[in-house]
Amino acid sequence: MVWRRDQIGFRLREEFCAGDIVTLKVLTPAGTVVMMGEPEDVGRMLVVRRVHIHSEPLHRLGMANLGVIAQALMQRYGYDEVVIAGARRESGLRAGQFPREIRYRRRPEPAA
Amino acid sequence: MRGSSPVKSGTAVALNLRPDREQPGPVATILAIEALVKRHLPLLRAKRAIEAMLDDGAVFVEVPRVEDVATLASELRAAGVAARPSIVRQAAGGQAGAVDVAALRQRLGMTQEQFARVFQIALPVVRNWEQGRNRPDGVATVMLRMIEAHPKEVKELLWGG
Repeated sequence: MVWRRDQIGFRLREEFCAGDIVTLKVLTPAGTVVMMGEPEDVGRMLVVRRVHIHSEPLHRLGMANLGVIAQALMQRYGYDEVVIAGARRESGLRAGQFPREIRYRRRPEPAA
Repeated sequence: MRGSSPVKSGTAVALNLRPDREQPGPVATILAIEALVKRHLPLLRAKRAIEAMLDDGAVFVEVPRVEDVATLASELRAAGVAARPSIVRQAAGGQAGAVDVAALRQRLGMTQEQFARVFQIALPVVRNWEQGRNRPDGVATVMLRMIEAHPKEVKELLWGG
């Protein structure tokens, strides 16, 4: 099931933020997803490097819902674009590998 | 992420970490990082250690405050990481950075004579290291760390497979 943006909430995990590292707790209809990365503002674009994602169970978060989280993040924090550069796969055939860069551009929410 | 309160007391422990091959699932990297940060390893170092483990297959890390190695190993195992105390001494009674050759040899189940013969080190050298009369130099320390991580492969290299 693909979520809606208004179903997504964000909380900063301050005890796991230090230096360039930011950790967000993402509240979703399926439970909590934790994202840890090293973000950099480039104008209205957010580039996040060395991203780790944890959800329980690990396989529940698909690419479609990752896109919904990215759209909700842009809406909440005022970015036009989010680039996930160097996210590490934690499951699937190429677990542990860095896939290609993932880029999301802000777009209107599709009508329900 | 549960139980993230920092550990209040404990001793420094040097560990070798590697993905746990006995577990089918992927490494839960954030849980592993959390287990290390709870024991006062700075966040950036914990994150880089786990990333290096995934890149290289294993990593050596010095965790500043471990209340109980078994508890930490259990938390790391739950995250898909196998942890084993390193031969590098960190706790009280061992000079920081010193290599515990006797512990390595005993872990491999060898006598001093067997260890010296298999890894082509002069027996008096092994005895002097174990009895603290000499310390392994930089090159020897690297070799001992290689023996610790890959004993079978080092033996095959030395003896031609």
